[in-house]
Amino acid sequence: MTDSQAAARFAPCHQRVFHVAVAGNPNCGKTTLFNALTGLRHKVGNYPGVTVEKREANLFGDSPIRLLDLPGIYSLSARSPDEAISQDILLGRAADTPRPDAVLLVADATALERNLFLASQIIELGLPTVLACNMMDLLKQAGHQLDLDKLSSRLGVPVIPTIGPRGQGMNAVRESLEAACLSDAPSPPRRRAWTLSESAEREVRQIAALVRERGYADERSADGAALLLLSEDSKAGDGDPEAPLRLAVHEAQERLARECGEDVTFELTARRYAWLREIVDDCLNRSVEQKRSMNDRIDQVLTHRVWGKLCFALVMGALFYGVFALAEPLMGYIQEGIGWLQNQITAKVSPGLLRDLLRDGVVAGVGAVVAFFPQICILFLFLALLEDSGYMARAAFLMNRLMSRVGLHGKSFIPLLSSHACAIPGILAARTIENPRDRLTTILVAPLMSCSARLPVYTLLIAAALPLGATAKAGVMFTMYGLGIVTAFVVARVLKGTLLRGPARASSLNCRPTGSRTCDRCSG
Amino acid sequence: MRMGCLPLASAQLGQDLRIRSVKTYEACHTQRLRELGLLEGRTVRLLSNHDPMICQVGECRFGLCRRIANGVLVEPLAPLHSRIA
Repeated sequence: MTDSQAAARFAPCHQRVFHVAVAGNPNCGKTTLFNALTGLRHKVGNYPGVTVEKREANLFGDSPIRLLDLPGIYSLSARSPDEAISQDILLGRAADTPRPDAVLLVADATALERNLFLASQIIELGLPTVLACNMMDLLKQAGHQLDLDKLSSRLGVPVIPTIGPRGQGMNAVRESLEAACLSDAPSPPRRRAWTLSESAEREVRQIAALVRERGYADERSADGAALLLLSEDSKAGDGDPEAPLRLAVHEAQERLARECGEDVTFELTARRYAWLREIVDDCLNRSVEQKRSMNDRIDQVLTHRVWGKLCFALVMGALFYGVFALAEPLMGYIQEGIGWLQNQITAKVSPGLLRDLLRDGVVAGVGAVVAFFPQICILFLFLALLEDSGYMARAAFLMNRLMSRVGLHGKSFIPLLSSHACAIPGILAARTIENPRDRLTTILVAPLMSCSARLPVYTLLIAAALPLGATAKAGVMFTMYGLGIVTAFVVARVLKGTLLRGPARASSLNCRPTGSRTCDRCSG
Repeated sequence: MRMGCLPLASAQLGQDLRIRSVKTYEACHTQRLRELGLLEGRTVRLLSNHDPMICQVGECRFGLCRRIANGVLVEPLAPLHSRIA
């Protein structure tokens, strides 16, 4: 369909903007797909009150569809801010975000079962839904075959194969979304295709009725909302407007626990997974030959206790060397340019306050900052390369052990590394850490890392104070960096042991194959 | 603990293991693990037993810190003859 045809189809209702939420697991290629569908004209902000990034952009072409990127989550049960925000938006309960007209689900075809867990929770909320099965190329590489038509009929939603980085399937996604938004007649509420035990079903019906009654969710999403409520921790906080609902859910959970002797959340998860496994077995033709892929072998080295750390040290060494060696000539040019500008000012402006202000204040001051621009650019280029190659996930994995010793998360590694260029983007990158205590600790210690603006100070001091050879100077410089890192770790340890003490937490890092170009970007 | 059950953290590499129970210190982690697919009755395989450990359930791989992995009890699927030796 051409853009003009699409525009013509939308002509009668062109004033209306359709909102489509994009949801999926972390690292399922959602961001790549979002970028391919929107062409990088994003509006980025925060959801009110929480550090959860909110990204919005229009669908490519002349489309009245506005895409809203939801945070990457594994489940819709609200246990973290990311999940709570996603659930609120999909139920139309978010303060400043309208309920979406449709949902685009992104699923990683190579980990279909886990991705369908979230997908099925969202489908049950009754919004028109389109499922984009992403990473179809990797699935094919592994020798598996997926019957998309069967998957579509089992789930009751259109399924579209996509390959995010190559932009494949984007037109089909757009057409499906437009069709989903334009269908005036709402399809009858779908029956949930899997069932719980009789007593649990009875409780779900009761909660669903209460949910409808209280206006917590509409008729179409009541069943799905009731399932989510039952799988959550039902303790209502002070001033929770839904306290009566939470109380009813809590009573239902207690009743079921007494009756079945088993946590209802377990039954919900187990029954849903049993159903999903049956679907995946039905639709996915697995290759018999379980070949040990090249990725596995590379992974074995990169995450090895000794070789992995060696590789890591080499990569980091190359990165720092690259940053300094490549940036030096560029910095030289910039400094020359600044010098030229200062000479021009000296020649053109008569001596006095104005000349001093311009030459020694504005040009010298701004120039001192601009001179670091090449270093920061090159560092970010390297970070982007590391992320897109999938190495960053391995590095975070390797670092998790060290980081957890000082009470940080593996994900703190990227913010702390970025802080070597500049603490500000480093602090920005800390938003990807889910646990607020870990996030705050990372933010507090990030400025202790030696940022590139300290580099000339170090250079100057070393040159002035230590009459040494080049190698020894480099060694002292290395020690300065090391000192910053050690101090940061000590402070983190102390903070986590005192002010920011918290219960032990789970860490699950998700590894995508190395070399896949579809790693979700997690630095700011 | 049932006979033959052991924490995932001390299981053998590369062996197919059935998950018998998932009970971590905090209830929310238990539920999180189950939602990720580490669910009672499923088959899991350990790919690396450093900290964090890597395990595979179905087509999905996870990195899991040892403390959490200790809350997952598993039993070997096929009795290993080599073990007796």
